[in-house]
Amino acid sequence: MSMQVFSKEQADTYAAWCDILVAGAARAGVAHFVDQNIAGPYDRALLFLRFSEAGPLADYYLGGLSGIDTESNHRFGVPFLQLSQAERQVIVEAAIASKSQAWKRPDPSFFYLVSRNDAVDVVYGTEAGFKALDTPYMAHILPEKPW
Amino acid sequence: MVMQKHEKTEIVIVGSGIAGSTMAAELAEAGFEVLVLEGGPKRSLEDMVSSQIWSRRLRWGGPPALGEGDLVNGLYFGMGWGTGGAGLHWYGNWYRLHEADFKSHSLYGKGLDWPLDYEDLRHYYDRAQIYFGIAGDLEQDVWSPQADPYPMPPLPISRQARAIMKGFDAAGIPVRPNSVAINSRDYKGRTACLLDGWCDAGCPIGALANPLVLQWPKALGAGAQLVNDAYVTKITTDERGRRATGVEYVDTSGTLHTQPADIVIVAAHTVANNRLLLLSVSSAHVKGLANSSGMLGRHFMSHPSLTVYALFEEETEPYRGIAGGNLFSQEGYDNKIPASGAFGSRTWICGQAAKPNDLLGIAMSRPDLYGQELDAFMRKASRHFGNMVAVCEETPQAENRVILDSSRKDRFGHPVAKVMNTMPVENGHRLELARAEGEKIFKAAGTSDVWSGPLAPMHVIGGTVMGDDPARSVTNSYGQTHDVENLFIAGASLFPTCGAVNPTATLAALVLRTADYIRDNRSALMQ
Repeated sequence: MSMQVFSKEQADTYAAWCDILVAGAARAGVAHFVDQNIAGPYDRALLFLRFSEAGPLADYYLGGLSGIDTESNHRFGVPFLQLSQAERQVIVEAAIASKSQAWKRPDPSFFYLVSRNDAVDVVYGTEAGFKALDTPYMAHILPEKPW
Repeated sequence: MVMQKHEKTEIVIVGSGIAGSTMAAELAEAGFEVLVLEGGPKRSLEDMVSSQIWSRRLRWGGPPALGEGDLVNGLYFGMGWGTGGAGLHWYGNWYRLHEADFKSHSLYGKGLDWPLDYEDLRHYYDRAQIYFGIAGDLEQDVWSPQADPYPMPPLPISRQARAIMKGFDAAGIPVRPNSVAINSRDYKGRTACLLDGWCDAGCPIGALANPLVLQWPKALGAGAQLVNDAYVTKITTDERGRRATGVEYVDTSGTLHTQPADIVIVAAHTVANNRLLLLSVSSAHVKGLANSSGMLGRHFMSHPSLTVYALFEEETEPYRGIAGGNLFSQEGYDNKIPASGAFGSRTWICGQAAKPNDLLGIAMSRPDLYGQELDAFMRKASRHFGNMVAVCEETPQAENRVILDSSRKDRFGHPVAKVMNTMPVENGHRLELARAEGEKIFKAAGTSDVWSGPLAPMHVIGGTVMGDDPARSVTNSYGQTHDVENLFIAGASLFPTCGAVNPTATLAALVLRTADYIRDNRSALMQ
């Protein structure tokens, strides 16, 4: 499935970022989940970000991805995708603690929260995710697809 | 721009959520010609997919609403979009305001007084609980004002609620079965709740009273009409500005429609109600419609809230039950000054069913965790999680308000709303007392793994507040604007104070009262 908004590098970066936040997020398709939903109209989007006013959805995510690489280049001289797991974790920890040095906008801490929720959605928030947690789904109307 | 003028209707209602649909049903059944304009799309029961991910399509999809202050974030979570509005994803928590909530200024010198008291509204609360179908137990509820019994017994107590109840018992604080607009048995053709915890993704079986199963069948059956994707941009008035003449709205093609009406009722979401009046300027109403007092947009409120969490020793099946809460406690509610420097009432709502994801899901209870730590937490919490929320009170302040912000425009070029809301310090102190109390209760239940979340706003209230004095309020006690006699407002935007309870019971009671008033004054209002 090709991306509509993200470039391949952006999609890979988002998947790698989210995979640190929630193991399995990349394989569960978090980059496709977000790409698909920022490509369409706002009121049809399925994203957690919809609960807050953050401006156009695509602009927000592209800004966040730019921020991740800005911070990565600032600290390690290479983009996020080229970092080791330990180095990636440094970028994540800085975002959580609001201690990013070069990444200013969108707010790194809030971007962590939003992207973590995207990752939680695709890993734990689907019927398969419920099953993995041994949580009965008990749907009135089952979604035709996870997202 | 293409323009289209329609035939006059007797009543046009803006908004199709709980306020708009209840008003439409009541007035159509009273014989009025009623047209409802809804900004969002048509909804059906099939849209209520059991998924927190898919439920986001039911949330606000209209023009941006900007926020400023510490009690305004996550605004869109509680706002609806499309037929039924937020009524498609509300939780069904159902409480009356207490007598003192109506007289906050007189009793405490804080906030505002309502232009009516509890006894004026009691009959309508009683009617509303029959209309919506409330399950609860007033004999056990030692806190609520005098009222008729609920039509249904309370819902069964969940395993999570039982675990929490042990803490209340050990702490010596009474807790009771919650009162909710959710069927504990079949009620008026709607089935009983299955306790599967999908409430805020919508309840397609209709156990939770929602406009698609309750109000809209009544309204449409009585001849009301509903137009979706009708984005109302202005209320029009005659030259002197004394009477509303109708509304203007834009459809998805960009066509501007003019809809004349004898009576206009603004019954959208709180922020949308305020914005529409502020947008409806004219030479007779240069500061916004019905704003001769300068009070339009002011006294905006939200309930300061926080959630207390625990991992209990026993299995709690947190995914079962109802999202609104299985138990509640208003112990001490009527003591609005529980400590020096603290002000406001408090309600505990306990044992909310929780799914793994979403804003109120299990994962969000520990936003600091990620990776393997998060996974380990999720596996334990999905069996042992418990939570309860403290709903506290915000004292209305004139400077907390909704304004228009021309730095952002909707797609038709109209300025968006900006909500400014900063919690008074005394309400923050009240909330912190609740935090300590909640953690004490959970620890008393025998678990050491207790934590609590940050301050969070809950519900949006005020801005078009009612009052006796036209110089200090926007409407009278019927939601009829002081300045424009055939313009009414419905919804929580009318409340002069918010108490510490979810607003829907009071919203519904006020709608029924206003509908009676319009019916009883038909000829005068329709002149």
